[in-house]
Amino acid sequence: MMGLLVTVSAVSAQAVSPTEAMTAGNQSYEAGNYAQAVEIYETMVAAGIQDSTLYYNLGNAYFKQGQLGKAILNYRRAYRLDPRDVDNNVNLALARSQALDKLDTANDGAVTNFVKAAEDWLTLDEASMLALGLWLLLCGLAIVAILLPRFRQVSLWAMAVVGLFLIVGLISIANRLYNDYAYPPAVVVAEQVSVMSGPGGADQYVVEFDLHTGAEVTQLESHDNWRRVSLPGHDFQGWVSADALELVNLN
Amino acid sequence: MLLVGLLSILLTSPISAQSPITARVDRNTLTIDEQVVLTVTVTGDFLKIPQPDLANLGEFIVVSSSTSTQVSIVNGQMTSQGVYLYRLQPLHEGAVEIGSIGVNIDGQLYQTDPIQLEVFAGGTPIQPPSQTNPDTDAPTLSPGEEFFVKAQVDNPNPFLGQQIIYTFQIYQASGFAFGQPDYTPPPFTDFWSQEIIAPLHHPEEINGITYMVTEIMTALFPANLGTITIEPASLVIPGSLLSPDIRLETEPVTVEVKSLPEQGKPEDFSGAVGQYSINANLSDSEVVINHPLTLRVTIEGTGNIQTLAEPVLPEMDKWRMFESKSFTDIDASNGRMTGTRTFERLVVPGQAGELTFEPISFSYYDPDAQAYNTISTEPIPVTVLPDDSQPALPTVVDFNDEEQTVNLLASDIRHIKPVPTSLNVGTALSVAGQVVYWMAWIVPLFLVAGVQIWQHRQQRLQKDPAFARDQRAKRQALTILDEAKTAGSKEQAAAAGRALLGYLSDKLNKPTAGLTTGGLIRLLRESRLQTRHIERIEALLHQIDIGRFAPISAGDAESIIVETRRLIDDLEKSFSRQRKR
Repeated sequence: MMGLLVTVSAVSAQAVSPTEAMTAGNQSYEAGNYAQAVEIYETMVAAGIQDSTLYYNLGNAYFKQGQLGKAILNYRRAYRLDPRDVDNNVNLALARSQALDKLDTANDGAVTNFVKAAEDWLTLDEASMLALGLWLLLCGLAIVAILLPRFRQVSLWAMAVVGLFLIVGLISIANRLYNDYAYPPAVVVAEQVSVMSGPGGADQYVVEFDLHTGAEVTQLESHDNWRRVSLPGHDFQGWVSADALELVNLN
Repeated sequence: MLLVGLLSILLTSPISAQSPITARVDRNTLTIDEQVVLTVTVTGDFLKIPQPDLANLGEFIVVSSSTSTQVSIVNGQMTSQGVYLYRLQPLHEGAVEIGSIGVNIDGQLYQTDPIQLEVFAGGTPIQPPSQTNPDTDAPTLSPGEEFFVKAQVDNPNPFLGQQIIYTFQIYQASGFAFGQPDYTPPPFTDFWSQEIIAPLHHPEEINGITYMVTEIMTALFPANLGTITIEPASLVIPGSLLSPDIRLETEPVTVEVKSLPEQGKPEDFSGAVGQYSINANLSDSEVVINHPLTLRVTIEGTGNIQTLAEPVLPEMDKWRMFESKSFTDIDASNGRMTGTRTFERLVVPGQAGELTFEPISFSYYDPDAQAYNTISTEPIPVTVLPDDSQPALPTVVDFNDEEQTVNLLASDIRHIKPVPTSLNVGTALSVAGQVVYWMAWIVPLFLVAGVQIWQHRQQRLQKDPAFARDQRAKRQALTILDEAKTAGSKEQAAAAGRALLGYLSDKLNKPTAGLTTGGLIRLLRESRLQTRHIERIEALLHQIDIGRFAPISAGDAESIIVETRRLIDDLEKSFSRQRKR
């Protein structure tokens, strides 16, 4: 069990286990000391603990502090680890409803929506294991079709159905892996940030539009301390200062 | 100045609901040597702001142009505005017109109204109609009386922050024309200054001489206490080939700035001096909980409008406030700086029901009344509706068995979760990144392929007797040899003969019955078996025949068995190679 150095009070710092640290964080939260709760939870995150409950509680502490951007960021991190957590989804929806920039996503086609629904229901690992399960099932059906001519017709139909689900699943996984790598999602954590027409300040480029804390964007590329972002469902894109946003994916 | 003008336009131009294009000029009268600035503003919700069409510009040429665009998204609503500035030079004197300027938006043409201008002769100042004729009435002037300048303030003893007007006056004797003069204002250190752009002209008679007086006014707001001296302003009149430039300077102007009284100073006083009024409104009187409204607080009056601080909003725990933006609209047409400063802020109600946005106070010092004044907005009632997108509200049954809907008073995040029994420590590699995972994909593929090959072989064994005999030939031969291990010498030799002949007949797919040694050798040659193998077969069959029909020792019988086994092994390899070829 790894140890964490957590400053629980202003005068003492001690190495504690992750569960002890989280207990201390929860106690700070319960006592209304949200700043200290944030400090403890962030220490745990920095120590490499990736747990949906930790991110959920951290999101709550940020929300109570009025830091909407950080709250949405951590709710989304919790969502990646446990997309079926109803509490987290409710809090994420509430935090999003209070964000100033309402960025609606476009209504995509049926296949895209199916892929998105799968992504909203399964983690990447769960989707990967499900795809493997479908593959094993497909191979089993193939063996049945080879060895048992009586069941060949049924097996081939079953293989077609399983194969279709498998292809969609693989597309979904590939899409998630590619987007995580090429277009990672990010959240604006600064109160307000100007989106510039290029990677530089107002002395060089034009302010195209403003974004506010909690706005969820996609990072397209990096250039020094500037990040090029696009808005979901819009054609807008531009450059923002790197310290104004944080990536949802920690890996 | 251009930048200030541009910013002013950007900050103050409201979005026109009627026409997306407006045009205005900075002056309506000018000389043929001067230029006029035409400002065209295009406003809408488009991503690419369309370019105005200047085809009907008239008797002007465009000397220079600049463009500024601004796109903003607030609460999902996009607003874009393009401001196009053109510096125009008139081509002839007299009444001229800037024609309609058009813009094409989504296939529809919008146009501005034509703008009328008056262009005078070069070097001729703008004069009122009662200007005296210089040929007939020009009096005799002493040197220095043709042109002179003055500077003055309207109040030499203002309060800190109180508006005073600094006026620079150019006196030009009637009949004495000059080209475009160059005015250099004083530095105005210790003041916040704002030039009142449009110069005023009026005639004035001094000692029987009629002067055309041009006044350039600047609004000043003292930023420091005590005696402040405004340095001289200067005017350079360009000379001609025969005369040098004339430089005119004013006297310094002294101002004594008083401090604001401490007595009666309100707590929320933020330094505003002048006369103001305040009002506030919300963008809607009804809103769904947790949805934003726009709070618009407007302060209007006379004073340093641009530096007015935002009034402190009352603390209200049922409302969440977000950062504000401000707009300033200044009017200096009446010789004083007046205008409005509007603060917009998004506010979000966090509780359903009938709420009230409490009054907002603003304090300022009125230098005319010499007293502090605190003004407030009216309370703003708002109906906050519950969010229909929330899950259906539970119902309770009261004592009268009547169903009542539970009213959601406020929405908050769900509480934190307890510490789980185990926490995921470290960044574990996702399953898709592990070798074992991908091995699990490949292994079943080989399994299916193996089953397919096996099944194919089984089917061929059933359907193809020659293939079946070929495949079982060695196994059957070796079985015969194994069974003969315990038999006598002659039986072993006979078994070796059966095994070898059986093997060869299976491989050649020929019946054993009636197969002679000579016939067998012929068939083997036809099958293109290697000669050395054929010779070995021939020799072994000869040995077997001796063993079968003549006395043979156990050792010889054993050697026949061993040689038969070796020969079958070698033949198997040879047939296999032959089959592959």
